[in-house]
Amino acid sequence: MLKFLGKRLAFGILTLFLIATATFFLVAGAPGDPIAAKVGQMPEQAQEIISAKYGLDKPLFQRYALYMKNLVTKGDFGESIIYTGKTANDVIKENTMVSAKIGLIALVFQVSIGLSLGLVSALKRGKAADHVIRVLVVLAICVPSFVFAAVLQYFLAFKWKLVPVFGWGQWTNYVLPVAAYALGGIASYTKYMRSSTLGVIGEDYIVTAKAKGCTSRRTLRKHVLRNSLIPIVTMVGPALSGIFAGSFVIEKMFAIPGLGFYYVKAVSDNDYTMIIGLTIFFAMLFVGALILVDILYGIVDPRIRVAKGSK
Amino acid sequence: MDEKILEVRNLSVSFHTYAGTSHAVRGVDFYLNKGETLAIVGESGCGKTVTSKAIMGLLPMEQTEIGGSEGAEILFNGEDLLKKSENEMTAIRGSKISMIFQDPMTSLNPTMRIGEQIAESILIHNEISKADALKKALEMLEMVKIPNAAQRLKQYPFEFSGGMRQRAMIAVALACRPEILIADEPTTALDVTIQAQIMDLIGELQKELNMAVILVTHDLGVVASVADRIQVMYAGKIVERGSVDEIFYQSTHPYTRALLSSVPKIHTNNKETLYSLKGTPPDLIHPPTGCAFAPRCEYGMRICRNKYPETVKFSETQECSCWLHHPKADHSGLPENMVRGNR
Repeated sequence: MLKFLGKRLAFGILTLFLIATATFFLVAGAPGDPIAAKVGQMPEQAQEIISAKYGLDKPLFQRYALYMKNLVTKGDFGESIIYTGKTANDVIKENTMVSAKIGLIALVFQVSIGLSLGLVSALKRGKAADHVIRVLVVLAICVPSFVFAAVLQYFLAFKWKLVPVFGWGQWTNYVLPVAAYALGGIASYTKYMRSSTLGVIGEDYIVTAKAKGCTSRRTLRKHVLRNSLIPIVTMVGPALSGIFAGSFVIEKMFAIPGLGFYYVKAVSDNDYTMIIGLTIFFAMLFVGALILVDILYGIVDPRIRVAKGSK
Repeated sequence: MDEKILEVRNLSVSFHTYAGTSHAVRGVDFYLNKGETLAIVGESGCGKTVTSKAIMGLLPMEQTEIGGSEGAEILFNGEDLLKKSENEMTAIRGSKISMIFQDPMTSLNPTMRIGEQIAESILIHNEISKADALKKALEMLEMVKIPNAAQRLKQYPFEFSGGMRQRAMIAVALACRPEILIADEPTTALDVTIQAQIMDLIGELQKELNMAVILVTHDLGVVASVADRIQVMYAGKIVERGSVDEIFYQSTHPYTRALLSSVPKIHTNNKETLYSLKGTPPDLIHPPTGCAFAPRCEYGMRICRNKYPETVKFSETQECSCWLHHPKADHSGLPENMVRGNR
């Protein structure tokens, strides 16, 4: 197990290195100039001074070597070009938790509601409950989150004045973004849980369980659930990394100072340090989540656990 | 000695499918004596598995219709299983009547330890602690001759070979010492060397626990060595039944004959063509009115297609439903030992 983890970590680090390198050169090769974007009209000398501050006057490979050195030795992503005085690390530190809070709450709702609905839908296959759930799922998947967010804002906030339209700071601010963010996820978890449960119900070992004298409840608890959750684990891991990244659309609509907002803005600003820094950060989360999925997989599925443990 | 433990009367089973109602079992009567082995033989889709699942109450209730208008009965020790509630049936399944299945690779829960799967049926049917149930599970595993049972108990199905999984399945089924074991093609998915071991094991345990076995199979080779009586099914009906000797040496139904001829013999030389029965079984959504085998039968007559033959009794155990045994039938051209009673 340890050996396996070590191997996965080594590959993870290699992946991150490749992503960092690729991003660095791609961003540098992109058209546009961050200095020009920031200051526009400015005497040439001043521009040169700013260029020198960010090392933009140096040859590309020298910049790359310097960047990597700072990244590896100090974990430093560098100072933002747009937000003078702030490093990409600061932005990540200040805003990640905002995105993560909303994302995590939304994820809890997505998983709990999604899995329950999926299970009900599968067990009541072909009955009214199943049809209703399936129609709702298709609807929820088709409606973009910003449309749903707008509908929520209109009714819950504007018409009935239950919660603020947007803003950040009180618990009531959480309600709308969490709901808007969770909807799509609930729908997809429902969909996946339904099909995975139906698959398990059709397996021979479910007949064996019944032939043993298991009641349908016991069959569900002891034989169906665990097996139907296996494919779901694959979905939860990446979703877990996604919550830190936040959703640009949701954050923008509800004026939430989350990371997704900064990420998209960095791209349009041509803010080199921010783009590369945030990309590496998200890649780190994603790689970490995938390793976590592998571990979780081993816990739910003994077939994979032992395969790992063997020499 | 010949005490009937199970009696199936006029059992018919239909499934409602998108294509229409499929009449999988069309009026089947048979009995099972205590401690004996009854083999139900027939090709795929003849209704043998459906019959056994009907006894267990394992058919999907929503799409299934059992009995029809004439009223079927499945009497287990005199009580009609078809009249039992689902709760009463759960109490019988796995404790009084058990079943093992064709494919041991998929019949065990992949994420549950073998020991727990065996212990589960003990836990369900007895007031017993989990630790004691596991102890009994260990005994069961030893009983089905799995080496290193204590260690194997903690393993998962994927760590078992096919033959060992079938042994584990047998341990699951027999954990509560049932009175009847229904073995639905227990050796079909196993290779030949393992087949004999599994059949021997079932035979041994049958004697040890004094249980009756219904062996569902299409493999006559398996049947010959273990069964007491055989009944041959075709298209949802029993066409012939008899003791092992009667079926193997004096079978009277052309279908039984065809099945027997399809088994390769040890002295068959490689120049001979192996007999194979032409054609396919009928579509049971529109079952034929006459004998369902008539279109494939080499002795088929006009009446065969129009009217189902009456059952002719040849001995205490042997019966056959075929027009060839009608007094007016033309017996010329039939193999000599096929015509019984008329000789």
